[in-house]
Amino acid sequence: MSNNNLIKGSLQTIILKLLEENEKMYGYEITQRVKELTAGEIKITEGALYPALHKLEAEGLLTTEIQQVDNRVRKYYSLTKDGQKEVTSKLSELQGFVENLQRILNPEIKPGFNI
Amino acid sequence: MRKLSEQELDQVKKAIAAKELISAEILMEIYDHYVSHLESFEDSEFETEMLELEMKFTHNYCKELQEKHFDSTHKGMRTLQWKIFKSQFSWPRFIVTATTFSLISILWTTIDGRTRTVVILVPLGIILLLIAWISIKSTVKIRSLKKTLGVSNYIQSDYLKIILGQWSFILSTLTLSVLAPKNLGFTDPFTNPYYTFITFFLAILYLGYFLTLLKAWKLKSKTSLI
Repeated sequence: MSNNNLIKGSLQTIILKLLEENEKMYGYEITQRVKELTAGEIKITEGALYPALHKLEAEGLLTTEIQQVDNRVRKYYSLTKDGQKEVTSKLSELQGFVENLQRILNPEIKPGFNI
Repeated sequence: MRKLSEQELDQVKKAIAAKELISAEILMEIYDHYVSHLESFEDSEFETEMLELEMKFTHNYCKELQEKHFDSTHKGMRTLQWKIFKSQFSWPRFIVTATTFSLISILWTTIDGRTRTVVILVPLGIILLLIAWISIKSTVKIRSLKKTLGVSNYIQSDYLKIILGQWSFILSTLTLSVLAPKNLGFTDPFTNPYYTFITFFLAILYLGYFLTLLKAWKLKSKTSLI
């Protein structure tokens, strides 16, 4: 089963979290980092990644930097001050959602259970 | 990680050129994605990986990516300019804004209708000079990108496209303000109170636009193709 639909809603949080841990990253690097962290279980498609990056940039959560790398130009993304603040709220939002989902899937788990 | 050969790079460039994209930002990002991906495979796997990339980055998909990028850039630019505009009303900048506003108000009541028309052309001329400067800077950056990608067709920065669109809007406001009084049946528009109000509004609009564009460009020129 493709997990693309499941990832879609949390893609922005994934990007923000990765950029919080790494000072700056470029598009291809993000796809590879996600693949590496999830042992290939999660593959971010380019069709979803780039529009998400551009949207976050437009919202002022990411800033970009253009650098010359081996005879080509590379666009690096990094968090803005607003983006840094947003990471915490997005992460707790996602964590809350996962906890609630866990309760639905496994009703025996009592409220207050932390993943 | 290896370096691609000249032949392989040419193949990548040809594949990207075939997508007929005009957004410099998208071309730059797709090219880097292709090369970064292909560099992580052995040369024996080049053809297979190239085919895989071509299946992902189809013509339609790239066009859609280009459209989405333009929309995001448009929204981003608008948000940035609005943020800059609002910052002019924050303390202590508000003192400068209020003083400028008062000075223009005084000036507007002391000069006649024909002079007002000439005066509003001054900020308009400055905006035109700024846009011409941004266009030159962007052209230089894009020329270097075109050289890297080996493309000969017309490509443009989405930011510049947006700025040129805003310029068209600014020009149409002037045209309307000059033509509208005549269309509304005012025989001598220069002495009409409507004309005083509309030219005052345009003077403020042009000045405000010039400031937001200048500051937005100063911020974006460091990180984008303008």
